[in-house]
Amino acid sequence: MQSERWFFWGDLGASAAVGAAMAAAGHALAMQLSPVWLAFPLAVLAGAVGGMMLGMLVFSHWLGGMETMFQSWICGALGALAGACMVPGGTLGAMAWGLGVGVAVFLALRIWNARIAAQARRGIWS
Amino acid sequence: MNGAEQTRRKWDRASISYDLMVGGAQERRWEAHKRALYRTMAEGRILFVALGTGLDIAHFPPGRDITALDISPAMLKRAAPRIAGYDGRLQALVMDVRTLDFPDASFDQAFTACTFCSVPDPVRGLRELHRVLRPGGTLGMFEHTGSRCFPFNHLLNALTPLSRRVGPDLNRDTVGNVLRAGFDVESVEPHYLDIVKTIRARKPV
Repeated sequence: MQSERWFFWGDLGASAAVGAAMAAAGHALAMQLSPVWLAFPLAVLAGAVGGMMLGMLVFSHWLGGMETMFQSWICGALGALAGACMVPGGTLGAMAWGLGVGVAVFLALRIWNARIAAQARRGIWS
Repeated sequence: MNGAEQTRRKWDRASISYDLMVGGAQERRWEAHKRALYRTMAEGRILFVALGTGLDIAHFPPGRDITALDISPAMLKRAAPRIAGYDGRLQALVMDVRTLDFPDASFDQAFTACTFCSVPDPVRGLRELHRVLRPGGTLGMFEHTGSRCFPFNHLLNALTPLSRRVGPDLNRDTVGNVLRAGFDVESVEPHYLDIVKTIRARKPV
């Protein structure tokens, strides 16, 4: 049986990796598209789909929980958007931002989850 | 074709790939939470709803008297080796939870795992569980449900018409359904963003 710690670090790594990968894709999209503003909605859309696919097809092999695809979805969408915004920073700069976005999303969802759990302990269920 | 027949066919089809889809990392992720729920299986008559291919049997405490149901004969056929390997009394029956063929107050405890996301008319199924539990009997559920959290609530609503074709609904208000069926909810323990949770309820005395 794998421990909670395994899933904590696994989810953190997966969120960071999805964010970085989709940031690279968002950056590439912004470099190719004209007018550049078109890259932002497309990056969000492509990042969401790509992030969810990465989560489901790659990371779920170790981390399981189809539900965590929602985490990959948000990390992908926001990571790609960050990448598209980082045209001057180059691919590596975009990936660094994407990685940061992935970690931030992971932490935000952890805090959110803790809040929901605390509410449930107080009897707030719906 | 009635609802039960449709559901049976869907899960008969799903049985072919069920262990592959659910039995690997997916199962490992929730294993600790399921074990914690099943540890509350006590001496007495236990009803387990939707046994599937029997993946959960490995988490059951030994020596219990369990009657397990599934609507799909194909699922139970695949579960047969796991049923045979259980160290206790485990009887598996093909049955629809909405039309249970048991007298009132037949069981002391009922358990479900990832079940009421798939039962058409879930309140009817939960009312049947309420009927067959003795007064004071407990219901333990490990379930995927709808979420209160934006944007997951909208995403789950959007995905449900698709997911329903191959498996579960993703947006059920299962805690509300348990209350509507007449149970007292004792605790709800969310495991992942209000989507995956353990629900403990009791039939009032």
